[in-house]
Amino acid sequence: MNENHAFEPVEGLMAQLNAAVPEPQREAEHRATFLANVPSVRVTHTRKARPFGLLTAAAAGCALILFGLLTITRYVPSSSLPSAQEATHPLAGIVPITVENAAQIELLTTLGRGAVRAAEYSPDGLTLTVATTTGIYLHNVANLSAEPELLQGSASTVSTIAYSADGELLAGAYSNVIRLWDAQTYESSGQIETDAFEISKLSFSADGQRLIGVGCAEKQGSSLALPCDQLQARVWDTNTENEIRVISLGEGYQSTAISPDGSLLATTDRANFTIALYSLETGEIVKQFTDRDDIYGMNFSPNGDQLAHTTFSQITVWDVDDLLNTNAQELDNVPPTLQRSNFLSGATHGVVISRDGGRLAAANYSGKVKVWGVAADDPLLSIDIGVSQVAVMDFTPDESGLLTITYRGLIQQWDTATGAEISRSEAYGQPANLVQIANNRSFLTEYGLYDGALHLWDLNAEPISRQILDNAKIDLDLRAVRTVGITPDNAHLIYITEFKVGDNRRLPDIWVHYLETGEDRTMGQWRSGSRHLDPRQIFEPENVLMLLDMTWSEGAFVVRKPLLDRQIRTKLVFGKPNSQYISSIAYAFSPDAHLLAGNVCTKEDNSIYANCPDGEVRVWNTQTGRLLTILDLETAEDALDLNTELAFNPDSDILVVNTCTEGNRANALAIASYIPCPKGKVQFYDLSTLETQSNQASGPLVLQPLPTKLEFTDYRINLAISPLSTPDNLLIALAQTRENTTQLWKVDLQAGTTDLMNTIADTGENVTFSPDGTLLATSGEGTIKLWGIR
Amino acid sequence: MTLDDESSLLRRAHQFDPAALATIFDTFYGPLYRYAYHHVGHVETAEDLTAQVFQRFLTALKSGSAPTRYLKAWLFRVAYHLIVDDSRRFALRNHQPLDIQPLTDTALSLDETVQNALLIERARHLLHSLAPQQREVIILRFLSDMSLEETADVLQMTVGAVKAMQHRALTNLRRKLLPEFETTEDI
Repeated sequence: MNENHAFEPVEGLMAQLNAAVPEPQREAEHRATFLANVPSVRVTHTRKARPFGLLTAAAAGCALILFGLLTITRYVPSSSLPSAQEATHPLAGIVPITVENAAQIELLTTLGRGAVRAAEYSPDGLTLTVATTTGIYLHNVANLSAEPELLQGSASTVSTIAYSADGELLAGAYSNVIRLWDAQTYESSGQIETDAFEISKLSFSADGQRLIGVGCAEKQGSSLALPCDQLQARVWDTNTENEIRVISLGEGYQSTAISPDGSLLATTDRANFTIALYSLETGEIVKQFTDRDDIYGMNFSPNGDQLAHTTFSQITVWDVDDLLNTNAQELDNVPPTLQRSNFLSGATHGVVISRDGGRLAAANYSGKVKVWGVAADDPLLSIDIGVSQVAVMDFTPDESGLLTITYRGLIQQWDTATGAEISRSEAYGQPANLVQIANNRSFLTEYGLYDGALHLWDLNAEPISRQILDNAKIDLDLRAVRTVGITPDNAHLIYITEFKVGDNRRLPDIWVHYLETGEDRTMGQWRSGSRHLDPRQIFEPENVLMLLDMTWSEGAFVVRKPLLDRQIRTKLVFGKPNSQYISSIAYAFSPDAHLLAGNVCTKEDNSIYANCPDGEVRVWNTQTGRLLTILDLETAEDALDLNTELAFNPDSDILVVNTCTEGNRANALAIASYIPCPKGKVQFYDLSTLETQSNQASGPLVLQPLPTKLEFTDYRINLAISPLSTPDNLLIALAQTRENTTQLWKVDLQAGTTDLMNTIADTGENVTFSPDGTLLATSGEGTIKLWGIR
Repeated sequence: MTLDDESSLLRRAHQFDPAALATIFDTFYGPLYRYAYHHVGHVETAEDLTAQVFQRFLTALKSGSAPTRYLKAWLFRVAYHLIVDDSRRFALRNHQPLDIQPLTDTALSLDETVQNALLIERARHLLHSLAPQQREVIILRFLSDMSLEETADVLQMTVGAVKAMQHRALTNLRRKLLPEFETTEDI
């Protein structure tokens, strides 16, 4: 990599470029204008004095009066945008992030309000309160599309919220504390310490004297998808803030519901299909039944008289008194109020009952909602949300409408008589899967895995604004953006959506979004042999798109170069180690598009989820398909080669390999779900002479790592290399999901040293640098944080 | 222009000496115009950007924030920021077409003229295929005759980073200029 090159051809290039510059046409005109503007008298530089006096005092007085009014007036969130203020653009004046200044990196701005976790109407129906991964937001129900206000003192990840029935208190659950606000004034009203207790449900007792939380007290990782090892219900006294009772509910995935008066807790155990009713007064099980199917969602009616639950194909509503008074042991023997099969196609995961108990709404995983009369046979209404699954659903306080909030963060209120959309707000986002920044740093893209939409952030706008590119032409049950790329000329976005056709078959579509016109055009379906497509893309400097596919039917990597006219220009098949199985975790193109590195499983394994018994990293020439090298990973015998991450330095001559070096093979699936592995390391491989050496060798080289390495006691899940890294000094950002941090490291390959430059907290799923090296973007939990140096 | 000349001119410019300001304009208009043209590829835009640099300079002199030394680096840094701002404004549109030079060289045959035009187009294409920072270093170092230190000052990078960027840019250009890698049998 330190090889000196002769640059004669470049000199010729420079001469051509210099000769090609036309003479300026208006130099004389500009010269005259410039000199005409030169003042004839020397200018004196004075600083303007700040006005202070009566005007300032009057303003302060007004502010005090206004403050007094606010404190005694019932709070309703503003229905209009906050008044415009002179603000400096958050990215103004930033300089490139280098190994010399990386220690000074700071948060420049946070994009997005986070992913929605819960929402509740205030008891007076005036405010819709939304809990997200960044705080609690208050919407004026009368003007839902207006900007919401962040509740003071709420800014961090909230798992759920609850209002007391008397409208006096609002509670928000955080990782170690439940915060309380006066629900009339929205001022802080105390807090309850909970230790490490991940609360998923929160409810007040009818008299507001008790607060009940259901959540997880013990879990092997932070992912919401992981089962809980110790599910508990806890009861606190809201006056003394003391814990009164702890009820152990077992382990695993459970659905839970708390009755509105706080007297009953219903739980279902997915392992043995039981449903139990607990008394929250005594902590004892008062009734327990067996069911025949897995329960996806469960809810009490707002009056507490009914309990509804959904299984894959059935929705059932019981009278709670009937459940409590029966002697039956099986739910089949309890006559329900309502039972409907095939209520919605596919699994129904959410169900709510209207406040008068007369209507019921349920949502499935495909973004479809149906409203039924509890006593009626036919659905009253079908609503196709279309864009994403429904995360939150409720009837509006006046019973005339239905609220839906999708995982994507789209809030909609529907007229339950006509099905018409009454109002909407696109206020929130969902966890960003990938962040890319355009070459000219003018915009940033991210996509959510399950909403089929790309989010495009205009980094030049003030304030930085988001546009959602939701391709309305796709009208199928399931879709997801699998990858997105920005052309080097910043003119197009290329993205690939995956969607379901029929029951199982998934075919991806390649789309081009024209940034100038906003138009989306499809390049056609990509008929690869892969059912589970996770393609990677890169652009050659000439705007030629390269796509990497793993075709499991062929057991190989395939590189394709599709063109806008739907033709496949090139197809190259790489590495067929056993025609059975290849790793789906790690592959990367070099920035110059000449090399492809991929993690290949070399032994047969029947289960795609089990593990890779013996894997290795291979590097190919993308122009010829030739295998150039196999890396010596130096991992322990039982290492999880499957779980490897690969990245190239900007010069494409260093390959960085991030591997888990110890692990339990049986836990491979869980590790893929972000359980950190006990030990990991980042190694560096010098590829600068790879082509030459490979040409001289009879077969692929076995490449040893450089002596320099980074070793960790837990696995780094995402890695980015600064484009300003020099050939010997790399600036690396490592995102760590478990600790939710991103670390910046300086790696000096010549000196063999590594230095920790900085650790950024509260961020850490995806990480990337802008191509000009001035921005570090980290994403997770529905927000993107931009970091830099001013 | 030596640094001493530059410092002397700047002192006089701070006193709004018309002769000094005219010298500064005459000295730097051409290089700044060429620098802008290499970025935007459009005569009028390049000239407008160059005029704006001098307007900024005048404004800075009036407000007392103009430099007292390293005038050349200061002017190019302003130009760089104006070009970046300009490219951002046009980011969501397609690039403007490059100016097509009229085929006026009568000493050349039509074939030679076309061949020259193609060579120039290819050269521009290669330059613009570089990453933005690499392209910037190449334009400043080899098309605007800036020293490593001046380039570092314009881009607000260290000299080491400029060297590394230059190395990377030249390697990339060389790679693009040389024939493709040899093809051998697949494995």
